[in-house]
This record gives sequence, structure tokens and C-alpha cells, in this order.
Amino acid sequence: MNQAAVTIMGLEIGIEERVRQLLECLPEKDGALIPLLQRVQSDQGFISPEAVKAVAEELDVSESIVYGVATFYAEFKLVRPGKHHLKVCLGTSCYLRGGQSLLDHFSRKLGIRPGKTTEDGKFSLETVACLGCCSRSPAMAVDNVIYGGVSLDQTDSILAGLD
Amino acid sequence: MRLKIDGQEVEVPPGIMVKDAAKRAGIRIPGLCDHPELEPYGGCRLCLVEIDGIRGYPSSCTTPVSEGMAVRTDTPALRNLRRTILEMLLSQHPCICLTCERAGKCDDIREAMRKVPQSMGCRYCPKDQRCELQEAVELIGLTKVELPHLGDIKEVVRGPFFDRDPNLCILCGRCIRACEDRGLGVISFIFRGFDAEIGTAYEKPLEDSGCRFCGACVDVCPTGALAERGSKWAGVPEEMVVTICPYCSSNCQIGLEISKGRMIRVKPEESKLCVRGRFGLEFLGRNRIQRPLVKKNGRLVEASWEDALDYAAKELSLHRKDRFALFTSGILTNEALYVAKKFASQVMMSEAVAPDVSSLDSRPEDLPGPMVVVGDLAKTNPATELWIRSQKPVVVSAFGTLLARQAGQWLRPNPGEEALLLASLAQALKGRVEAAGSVSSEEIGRAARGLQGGSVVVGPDCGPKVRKAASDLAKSAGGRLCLVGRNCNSRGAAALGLNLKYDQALKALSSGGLRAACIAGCNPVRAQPELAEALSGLDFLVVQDLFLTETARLADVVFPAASFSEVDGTFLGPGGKILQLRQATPPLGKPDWQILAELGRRMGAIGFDFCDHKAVREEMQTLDRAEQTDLLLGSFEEKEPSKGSPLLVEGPSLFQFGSGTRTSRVSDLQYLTREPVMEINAEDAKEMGLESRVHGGKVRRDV
Repeated sequence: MNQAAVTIMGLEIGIEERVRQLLECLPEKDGALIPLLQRVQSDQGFISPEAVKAVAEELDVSESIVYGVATFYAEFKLVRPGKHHLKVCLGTSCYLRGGQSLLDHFSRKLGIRPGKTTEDGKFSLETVACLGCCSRSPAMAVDNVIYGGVSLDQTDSILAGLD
Repeated sequence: MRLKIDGQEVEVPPGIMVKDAAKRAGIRIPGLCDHPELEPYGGCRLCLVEIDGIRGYPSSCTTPVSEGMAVRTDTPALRNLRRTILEMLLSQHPCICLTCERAGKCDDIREAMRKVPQSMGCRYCPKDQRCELQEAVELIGLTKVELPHLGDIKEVVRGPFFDRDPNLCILCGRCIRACEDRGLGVISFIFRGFDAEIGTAYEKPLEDSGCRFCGACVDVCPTGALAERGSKWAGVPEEMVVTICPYCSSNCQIGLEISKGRMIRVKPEESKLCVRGRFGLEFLGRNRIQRPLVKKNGRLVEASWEDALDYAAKELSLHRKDRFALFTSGILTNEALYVAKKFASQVMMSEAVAPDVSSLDSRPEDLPGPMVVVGDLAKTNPATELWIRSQKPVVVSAFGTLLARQAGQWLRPNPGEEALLLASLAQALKGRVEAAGSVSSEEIGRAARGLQGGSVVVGPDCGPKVRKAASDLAKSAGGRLCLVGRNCNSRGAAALGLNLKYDQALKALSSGGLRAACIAGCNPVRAQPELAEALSGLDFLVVQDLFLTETARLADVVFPAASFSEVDGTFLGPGGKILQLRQATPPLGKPDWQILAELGRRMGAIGFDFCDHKAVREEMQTLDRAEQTDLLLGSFEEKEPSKGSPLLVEGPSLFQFGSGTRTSRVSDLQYLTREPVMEINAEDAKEMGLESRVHGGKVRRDV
């Protein structure tokens, strides 16, 4: 498949065309950068270099500006997320109860830094500021399922449980 | 408007910011993010002040003055705040020298310290003594930084013309705003918090991100984060000489920073320079010829000025009248062009010619009303284009040029059909709206509606057909025609009428009608290699140039000329205005006018003993100028493309100028043009069997 093409409802269209479609749903071009990036991300799962280029062209701004905004907000992902998405909480409570060593452990085990995806596309790793489960810290989430009071011993079985 | 700053009554015009008002009153407020040429920003927070009736500490660079305002710029609270802010800023900056108690006293022992690969403090920084951070520390009176040093050491990024050292960057964002001011936005803040830096999308190199290397970012950088590589360690200049850029006809004022008789840096002087003016002058010191050369047994050998001049005078006197022509160009001063014309007509009984076409009375900035623009001005005349772009004109361009993409309306004819489109616009103004080639009648109608009384601007890359059509359109619109000249003094050359007989002289040369020629300020063999044969067939050829050019190699006598920075002289501005060139560096050759005058004297002519350029200037005052624009359209022939054969359109380049004689001696300009690109329609490529070579393949073009 062409790298810059996307499949929408079984049809393959260019990313430029898709960005144009997404922009049409917005009231005006002025101030459309963030909402457009949000739509591109929910549509594609992440924001690809091709999408950055297409958004820049559609909005008449430079790629650097689009990239600058996309890298500023933690919400935007610039790498394709893995099949399973791991979030490790580094909020105050989890941090104090070993969140950092939990993160380091996953990072070593998977061979990726937070914010990245493993080469086989199976896992991606990310930090979050709070999962709202401070009472069960250190907490983490795998594909939106929360695990509380996670010890290092448990991590292998968590990973093993994912196909 | 009256206000009180630190108890002092100040009267200022409304609309200015508190910080500027304070400056007028002689009160200095520190600040690192604001810059006189940029929009107010309020990012660094060092210019905080107290104002009665305003809560907190507003930044004085973004707060406009109001009647009766009472401002305090120096209170214990403000001093405290500024020190804390500056301290935090310095905790991410190699600042040991800034607060060192022996600052400035270490000169005796810092032998070769600058060879360290990384700036560890001011004494290792290219901006030492020119740095605004040093000024701020002094003004705020910071004596120590107690916060721990933060951040990792980042790699210095090398690029064409300047280096970027992110370790010295204070994230003031001036460079980003300067780039946006040029309508580019090549760089932006990327990432966030401690990771924040200034960069491009995916940290691609600048040359792949649309950077035009105008250097505006380098000029506004307060620290050593952006530093010209050519003069990185040249330090503080001894003097600055304001003169005129020697490239295009935008005639930007430039400041040459001089140290030890050498030009170390170029700064804009109330102008917005492009890459050529800002970084393209290093040719001044590259492989210049400094002694006359005379051909002996087929080889050019050095000779004294006396011998070379005597020899040239003797030989030239054998070839007067129509056996001789003097070829020159609008890169020379008025004085040189005038003496060239006088020498050719009075001594050689012949003509001096130059290919320069230019309007005399106007430049685009002076034109009234709406505008139609033809030609890729962003590449030929960047400073002029910047102004034109802000006017949102109608742009006629077959290609997606920078100006076309940001135009008020972009009319896109097929390549080669620009003249046809201009003619259709003229027709539309008379009420006959018809489609022209690829442009619909609706588009033409829409463009024509706003054009009454408007002006037509024609770039120097346009041919005679386009110039003619543009002239007709300007007449139909009842507006003005502005032919933008190619060279810095195209206007001077056109005013002397040097272009009138250019075609004729060129024809005489290529058909073998000439027996001798002088060439000054141009390198025809580089521009048109097919002329090499005709020039080597001459009995006698004199060339005066800065370098041993392709043309000079064919000469019998070569005289080393002085460059623009080595002479006093003038260029002709619009409406007869005189633009002053000032000598900044010691000459390596003689001024062009002087070489020709000395030849004239030796050949027995009177009226060639000018004592200096001013004497030439005085004689010129009495000169009649060719004022009629029609004469200036030029009559250069244009080959009709044969039907059905492909049309090769050669475009100008931002990173080369003219034949490239000067710009090819600037290594980074050479790097940026190392691979010329040819664009071709995919279907044509298929038909011509070039399909496999499209996208990175190589195509050969026979000249």
C-alpha cells in the first residue's frame, strides 16, 4: 500500500484528500490547526509525517509550525501506537511508590523510550501524570484496563497476557 | 502624550510601548526578547515594570503608553524579580564567565582556548562582547548564579553559512518571529518544557525546510546561538562602512564590518537583505587577480601596469570604428559606465553596450494603485519581492513561485504564454473578456476588474515579448510600467542608453564582424559559452575583472579591477536619485573607470584625466538621459519555439546571480546549487523516453 494513503470504509484515498475532508467539517481555517490535528489523530491513530505536510499545505502554514504544535501537546502522537498501549503513571503518589522504576523496567524490557513503539509494532509505552487511582499506586494502564499496586514481579505476567 | 517614568515627566507619541518611552527618556530597561524590527512579544519577562493602577508587573515591551501613566522601572521588587528570572535563564546557559569575578582579566592566559569544540563560557563564544546576555547581566547586576546547571549538552548543528548552537539558545523566539516576518516560518518552537528548542519539522536540515538563508534570524539573535561561520571568531569590528549591495537592482543598503582591512561581516542597514547580500560577498577575497596579465606565446603572464596599459593602448588603436565594441553591464558604477561610453565613442569611435533593461523613474515601491506582477522576483529581487508580496498583487506566473503562492490572485498561464495572458488582460480592460490558454475568462475578468489605473511590474527574468505585452497592458490600464533591472546599476546602464545597440554589437561579435573588444564587468563566456569561439577569434581582446574568468582566459590583456567595496562611486536610483558606494577595503585592482581613462589618455584622447570619481561625476551631471520607456524595452530577439517541440524554460536561482561569476566563488552558495533541477510533465517524459530518469535521474542538456 502507498505509505501516504489511508483506507476509509474500505476505500483507499490519499492523506491529502482525507485532511481536506476533515477540514471541511470545521467552520473556518483560522484557528483550525489544533482541532484538525485532533481529527487527524482520531482518524489515523497518530499524526504521520505525511499528515503534518498535508495539514501544513491545507492551512497555508509551514510544516515547522504544525510540528511545533504537535510536539507541544502531550495529546498528539507522532509515532504509530503499538497494538497494545502501556501507560505508566508518574503522578505524585505513583512516583513516590516506585512509578519511575516501573517505567524504567518496561523501557528496558521493551527496548524503547517512553513515547515510542516497539519495532514489531506490538507495544507502545507512554507516561501519564495521573490515572485517578492514587490509592492503588503505583498504577498503570494497558489498553485502558487499570492495574493498581503493580510490583516489578507482576510486569512479566502482564506482558505475557497480551498477544 | 505625557507620562511619568521614575518620577521623570516624559512626552511621547501615542501608540508606543512603555519600554520605548523609557528609552527616549534615557532610562534603560533590560530585555532579551524584544527587538526594534520585530512585533512586541513579552516572552523573556526581564522588562517588567510597576505601573500605578495595573495589577502585578506588566512587561514594558508589550504595554502601550497612556495619558498620565506613572511607571516605576527600578524598585527593589523589580530588581529581585529580574535577578531571579535571569538566574533561571542562565541555569541553562554556559555562563561561568558572566559572573566570574575575574571576568575580562583572563585574556593573558586564554591562549587558543577557542579551539574547544563547545562554548563553555563567554570567552569561548563567538558572540563575546557583542552578546546581549552579557549586557543584561551587567544592567541587572547579577553577580552569581546559585541554581544548579540544567540540561544536557546538545550537538551544534552546522548548516550553510551559519552554525546553530542550541546550548547557547535562550529561547527568546526572535529568530522565529524574524522568519515569520519574511513570510516563511521555516523554524518554530518544537517540543515543550525542558526539551523545548528551536527547530524545523522532524529536525530536517534548513535547506530542506524552505529556508532562503536571508540571515534575518542570525541578525536578531541576542546570543551566540546563531553565528556566521565565515566570521565566527573575527570578534568585534573596528569600523562599519555603509554601502550598497552589488547584486540585484533592489539596491539594499549594507553595512560592511571591517577588521584589519578585511570585510568580516555584512549587516542590514534599514534593509531586508537576502542570502546574496548577507552571505554572498565572500568572493571579495577569493582568487582575485592583483597584477595585470599579458598574453605571451599563448600564455597569460604577469606584467606591470605601465607595460600592460601601453601594450593594450597600442593594439586597440589599430581597431577603431565598427571593428570594435566595448561590452559592459549594470554591475559597474555610473562613473565606470560613463567613462566606458566616453572611451568607446570618443577614442574608439564605436559603441559601449550593456544588456541591462530598466525603468528609470520608478521602482515597484513607488507605484500607485493595484499591481500586476510577472517574473520570479523572489529569486531575482528578494527585497523588492518582500514588499510586493505585502501588497497582495495579481501575479502572472506559470510556476508556483513564492510570490504566486501568496498572491492576491494567481493567474497561471502555460509556460511561455505569459505575454498572451497579459494581452488578454489588456483586452479585458477594454471590455472583451476571453479565456487565454489555460486561464479561464472568469479569472481574467476578475483580475481585470481591479486593474484600472494599476501598474505592471516586470521582473528581469522576462523576455522582450512579455515586456512588450506588459507595456501595452500598462497603457490600457492607464497605469505605469515598471521594468525591474537585473543588476545593481541596470538603471545607470539604461540611462546612458547602453542597451540600445547591445543586440547589434552581439550580432557583430558572433558573426565575426568585430576585430577587437574590451570587456568590463561581465563574463559573457560563462553566461553564453557559445561566444567563446567568437571571442578567441578576435585580433585583440582586453578584459578587466576581479577574477581570471572564463572570458579573461581568452584575453590578450587582463586588468585587475577593484570590487564594489574597494571604490567610491555611485549607482543610479529611481528618478535620478544617486546611491552612494563607499570604499571599505583597500583595493586589490584599479577602479574600472580609471583603467579605461588611462587607456584613453595613452591613446592620445583629451578629456580623460579625471583626478578621482568625483571629477567623473561632475562631468556626468550635464548628461542627457534617455527618458523614453519605449527605448528601454530593449529589442533583444527571442527565438520562436517551433510548434510541437518541448520548450525549456530557464528560471533564475536565488543562490546564484547572473552568470554566477561572483556567486560561484561562495562555497555555500555553490553547495546549495550543486544539483540543478529540471521539471518535466510526466506524460512528456514518457513520450521522450525519460520516464525512468524522472525523480532523481540525470538529464543532459546540450548548450
